[in-house]
Amino acid sequence: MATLVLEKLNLWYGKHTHAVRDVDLTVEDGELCVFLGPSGCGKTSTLRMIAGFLTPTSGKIYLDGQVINDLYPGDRNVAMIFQSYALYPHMTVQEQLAFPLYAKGKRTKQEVTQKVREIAHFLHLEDLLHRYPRELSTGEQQRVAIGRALIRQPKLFLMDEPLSQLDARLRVEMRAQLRKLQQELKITTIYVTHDQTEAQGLADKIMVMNVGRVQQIGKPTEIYENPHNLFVAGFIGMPAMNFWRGTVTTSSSEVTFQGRGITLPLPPSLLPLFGTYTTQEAVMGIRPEHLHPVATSQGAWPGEVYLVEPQSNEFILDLKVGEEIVKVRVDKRKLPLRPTEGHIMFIKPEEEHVYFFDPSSEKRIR
Amino acid sequence: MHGEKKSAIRQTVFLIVAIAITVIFMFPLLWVIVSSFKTRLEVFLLPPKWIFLPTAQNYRDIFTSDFMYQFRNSLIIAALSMGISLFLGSLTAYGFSRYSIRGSEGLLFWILSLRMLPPIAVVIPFYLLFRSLGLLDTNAALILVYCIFNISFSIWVLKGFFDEIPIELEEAAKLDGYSPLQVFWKVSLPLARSGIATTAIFCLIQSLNEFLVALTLTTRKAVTAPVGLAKLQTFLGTDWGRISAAAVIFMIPVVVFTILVRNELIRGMSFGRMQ
Repeated sequence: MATLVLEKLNLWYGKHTHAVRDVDLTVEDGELCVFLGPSGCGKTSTLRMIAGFLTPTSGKIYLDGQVINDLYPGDRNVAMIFQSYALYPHMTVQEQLAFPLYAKGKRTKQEVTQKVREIAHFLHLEDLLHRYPRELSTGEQQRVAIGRALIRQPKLFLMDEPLSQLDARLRVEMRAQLRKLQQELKITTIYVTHDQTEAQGLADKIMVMNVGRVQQIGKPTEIYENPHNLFVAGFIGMPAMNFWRGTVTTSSSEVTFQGRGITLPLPPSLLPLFGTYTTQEAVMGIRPEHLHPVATSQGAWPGEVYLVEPQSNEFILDLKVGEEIVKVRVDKRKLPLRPTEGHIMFIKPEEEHVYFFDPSSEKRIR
Repeated sequence: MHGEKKSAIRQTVFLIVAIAITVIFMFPLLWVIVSSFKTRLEVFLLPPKWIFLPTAQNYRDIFTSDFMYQFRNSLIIAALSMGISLFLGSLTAYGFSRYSIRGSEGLLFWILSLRMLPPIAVVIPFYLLFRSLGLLDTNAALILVYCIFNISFSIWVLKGFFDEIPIELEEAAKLDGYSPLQVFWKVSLPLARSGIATTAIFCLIQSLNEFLVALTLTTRKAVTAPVGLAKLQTFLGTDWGRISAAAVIFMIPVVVFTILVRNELIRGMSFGRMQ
């Protein structure tokens, strides 16, 4: 059980690639923190620095108050589940599980056998103990990898996209199991993924990264509801947030947004964001689930149905609002009839979920 | 039904072709084995006699001759040079595979170039070198020379095998608390075992068969089997029966070793493609 602190962590690959920039992070004891971002954002590099496979160019890594920058990976008391699981092809499951226990060479054979039996029982691996990795299914391989990581009771658990090799159904199942396991054992965990659904489903805390920089750190709901910048807003959410580039104009009591080919009335509650009688360039963002069809045109936005994507319990509609294509997510039960292409509908945003960003700094306007 | 018939025909044709090729390749071997059981006269008969009363006299003669001593020399030299080459070769190959070394490409090419030299080009310098070291006509001299050829070969072959091992396996072992040397010993080396077996057999064959250097650097004490075989051709004539018997004995170690490591070898020769 441990607290992990990253302090101004930087990593350069050679002279030209600044892979990780000034990362500051605290992961509390027992917390599961997800590093989320597109590929090449620095999340795996950060993880590998924590594991000890990469040496930070500057900055410090603390585990339980102790600086571990210069410790050998094996002396950090950190366990890792690799994307490929990294099971040793020449060892049986039993040997894999016992392998970490023999490392420091202090244990008797009985102790090891006992421990292996316990962990095998815990992860339902008893029947597989004499098999080699190639004789296991992907799900079983993953359980062995988890077992091998758990068996020496590490302070910190690192997971590098451990679910990416599973098929969609098993992935959802294993996600829940991993979460349950982590909560039961209360091991501080770092989990790297590019899959935001996974991040939302697992995390106590999410660190969103892009081009080596931390974009936002927060609880999953915070990240979703209160994105700090354009990147986080666009990266989190499925389908992605709709963005309009344009100008916000306010009078004494009204707010309007001038986008490409259309002027949209906005709720007056947004007035304090901009002040009265101003004109400001802005990027407006609204999530597809925060746009709702309404019956009247009063204060609503007209949109022509461009494409209908039926899902199991909802529609994802592409509407042409002005010259922009806007995605709207609609519950099937809330629509009287199936929308058809060319049909005109009216939509209204939820007032508290209209976001504005500065087009040059990409920061949220609040 | 039609497909089954087609595949049966294909299988038969394959079998016939395979047997034909095997017979062609095995024929010289068969000839040697058969000759080793013939008397001096029978060896020269034309057309050759395939049915004859076998004699063990050739083997008896060889067992009591110098050849057995030379054969022992060959085995000691080959085994030691193979062992040393594998040990140093695998460590060096691992280093090249896993650590970024400045100028490693040039270095690797230089190592390979050691093997490109035709032995005839180096045999005289070696002779002079070993004479001044007082190592002429010793097993040590041949072991050293064979190591030069075999180490460079081992490094090149084994590097490829180490490159194939996913780095995560080693990282996992490091996290589990093993030191880099332990990781090499417990994870990387066992996983490269088919490569090791392949390299071993090539080194063994190279050292056993080498003739030119052995001929130049030895006179009596350290003479190896191939040189000894050649010396069986004397001014009194060539006793092909005895030479054949010696050749058959000489083949045994390679055959035995090959059988021992055959499973690894098949995987190794296809460079890991057969999993």
